[in-house]
Amino acid sequence: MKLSHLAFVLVPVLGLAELGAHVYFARRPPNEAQWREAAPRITSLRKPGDLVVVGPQWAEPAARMVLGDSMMPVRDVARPDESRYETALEISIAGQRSKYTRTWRELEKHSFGKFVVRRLQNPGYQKVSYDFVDHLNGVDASALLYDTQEHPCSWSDHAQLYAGGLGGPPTFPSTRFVCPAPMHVFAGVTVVEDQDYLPRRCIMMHAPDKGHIEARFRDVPLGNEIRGHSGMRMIVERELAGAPIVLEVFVDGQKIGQDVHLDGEWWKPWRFPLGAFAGKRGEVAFRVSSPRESQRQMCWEADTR
Amino acid sequence: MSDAKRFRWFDWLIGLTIAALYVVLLVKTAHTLGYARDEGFYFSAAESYAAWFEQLWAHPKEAITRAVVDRSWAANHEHPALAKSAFALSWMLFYKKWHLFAEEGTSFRFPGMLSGGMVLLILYVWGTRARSRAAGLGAALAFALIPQVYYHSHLDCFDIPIVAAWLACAYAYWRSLTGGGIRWAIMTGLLFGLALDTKHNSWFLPIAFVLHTLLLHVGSYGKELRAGTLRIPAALPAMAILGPVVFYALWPWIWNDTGARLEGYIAFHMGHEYYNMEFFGHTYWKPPMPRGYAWVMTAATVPVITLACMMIGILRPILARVRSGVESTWQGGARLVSRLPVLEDDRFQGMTTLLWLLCIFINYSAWLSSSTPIFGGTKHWITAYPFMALFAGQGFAWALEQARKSALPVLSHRVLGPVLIGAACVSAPLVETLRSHPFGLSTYTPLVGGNAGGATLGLNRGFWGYQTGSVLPWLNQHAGPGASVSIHDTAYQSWEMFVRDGRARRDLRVAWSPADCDFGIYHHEQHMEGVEYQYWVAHGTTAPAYIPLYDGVPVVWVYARPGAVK
Repeated sequence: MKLSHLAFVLVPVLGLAELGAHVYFARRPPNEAQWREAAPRITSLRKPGDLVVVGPQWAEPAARMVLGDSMMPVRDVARPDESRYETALEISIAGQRSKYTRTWRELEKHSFGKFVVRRLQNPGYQKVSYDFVDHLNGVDASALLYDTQEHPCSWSDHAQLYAGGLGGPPTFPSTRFVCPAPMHVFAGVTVVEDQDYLPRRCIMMHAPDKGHIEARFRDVPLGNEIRGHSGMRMIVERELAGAPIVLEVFVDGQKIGQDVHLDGEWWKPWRFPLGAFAGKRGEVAFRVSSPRESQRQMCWEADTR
Repeated sequence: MSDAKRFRWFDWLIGLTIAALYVVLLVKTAHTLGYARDEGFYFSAAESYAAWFEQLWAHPKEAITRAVVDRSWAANHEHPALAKSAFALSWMLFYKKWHLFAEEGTSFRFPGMLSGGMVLLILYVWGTRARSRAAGLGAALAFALIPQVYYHSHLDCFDIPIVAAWLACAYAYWRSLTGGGIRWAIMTGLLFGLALDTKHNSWFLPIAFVLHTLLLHVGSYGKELRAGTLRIPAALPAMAILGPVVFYALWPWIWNDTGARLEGYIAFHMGHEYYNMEFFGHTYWKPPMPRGYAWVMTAATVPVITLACMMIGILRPILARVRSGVESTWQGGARLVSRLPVLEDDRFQGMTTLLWLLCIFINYSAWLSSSTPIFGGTKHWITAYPFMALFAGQGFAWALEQARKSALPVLSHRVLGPVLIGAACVSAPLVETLRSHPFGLSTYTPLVGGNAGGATLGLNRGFWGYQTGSVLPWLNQHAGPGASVSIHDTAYQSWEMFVRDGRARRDLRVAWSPADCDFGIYHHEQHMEGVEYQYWVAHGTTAPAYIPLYDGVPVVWVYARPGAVK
């Protein structure tokens, strides 16, 4: 019998191989019970300041569910980038690593069940001396609107919570600076999706129809530079139809830099050297304006380091 | 062997049994499948049409007045009426009158399920008539056991009904060419009308059949034209005449302002909005759309063994002909019509192969253009799947035939061989399909690493907010009295049906904003991530309260306001 006459055997063999592969792939990632079982051990491995990341990224919601906000707070999950973290705890499943910590140095490695947990050290770590997003509150900051004169915005712990739902604006937080303007013009910390639909925690300051909106931070310990990111939620920015948004930064009333954000620049990093202000304390102001305010919902984050 | 010799009376029994078993399986499993977004719209439309049917029964003269017709049939007039009329009649008869179903939703869905069963019946009959009994059986099972087909077969949507109408029309056309005579030509015309009244995929039917006719006659049309004796299969004029008549008769919305409303209907689908769809980690929401989308998604969601059998079914006869140097399939087909009704087997096979190939190609052809929307995933070209299944059946039958001829002790056994090979070929599709429920739209085959592999590759994990049914048991158990639920991508009408069916607690309230809810459902789609982040800020947590992981992959999850979980 010719070998080619037995080619048909490949058909049932392929069928059985597919069945085996299906079972293998279906069982490879942990189920909920396995996540819950692993959670205390993972928690015990985390040291203060560790960023918790998950590989693959799609498994992160399961990690958040079992580890909770103390391990994965919004500040970390919706981080601007990884440069501010000295160390990270990487939870790896199904043989996959997190793309955010791929180049980091391994300090520890623990394997249990379907999990591999690594503590990693960031070779590009930079210490942040002051995070403006963390300090947007009624004590450390103030906000105002300016058209032809200044109109102060008042801090509220019980402002009207609003979220646009599907296709709508991000959540207007209940703790924010409420301005004498339409509701969407405020200064408050929210989370928007960037060009990869990843979360970015930032200060939303929608450009007003006239003048500008400004947030001021008192007595800021200044590092060598102020660096940050600016952007808008992807669903708006991807239309590439809006006017430029200008973000100006002042220290003690002196302009140290500005970022003109054009649609399509996405979650854009910028950095302004502090020059003579470096190492001192001072008042830092962030001013947002746009020639046309429609959908100019600027969201920015910044720190000094 | 000609079809008359091959097909016996008991084949109807076999086909009907397969179809009936499938429908029973669909009915039995419907309860745990969430109502998708579009189902909600069709529930509403069907109820509007049902009211008209009742009026037609009670007061026929009033019912056909313009005001009543327009009022009743305006609902969801961007799609024709046949499937929704069937949903309406099913609800009226099987739920309201005869109480056949415990849930209203299942009664609306039932015609879709029957369509799924009908597809299997036609596949078995056609596969058996055209090829062999094993091919027919293989075709029916290959189609039934595609996870996404199984999912769509549950719904009160048009996708499986149009598959049934498309396939039935193609079968009738084929019968009209294979000795069926004028009876099947008329049937083709009538079925084309039903297809037109089901969904706009039907617009491709004439293209497929005209192309088929042209290719069959490629060698003879020149002569016929010169002689002024051009012969056209009777099915084509029947489609041209009867199709529009049936279409018009069964869609009351176009009884008035016919031209303008038809224009509106066509314009809606020719200029359809580009909804979002993730593909390899990128959300496409405007042209250019990826040209590889249809092919990749087919490869990633149709069981590998089914695709392999299909390729065998397509390539083996072609290669065999090339090797043996006999008249090519196309040339054989070219002389077909002039020799009807007596068909030589090779020409018969060639004509059939050509028709099936064209039906596959035509149904995929729209996605050769980068301006064709891709938002509906595999359901866009699902009308090609029965023809792929017919080839898969052919490939399966070849494997059985080869086994019989082989000298291998067990596999060449007359009974044991087919049973073992059949079990080996069916096991993976069967397990994948049954395990896909109720997450059929989120299912990927081992070719891409299963569901986890699909997620890693950045392939869409679902749309239509169809996963809500999977979190309802948890919500019913953990939400306090009168709790509010943000239902994200689930249509309100779909949620209402959950309540009417007792699947969602009656006291749960729908919240219109993530800011106002005690519980927020999030159906994962990349472009909807913003909604998840809205929950984070509104509820002050990034930790979902509940995720029904699907093979470890999150496809839907629930956020809870702190303190809301009881």
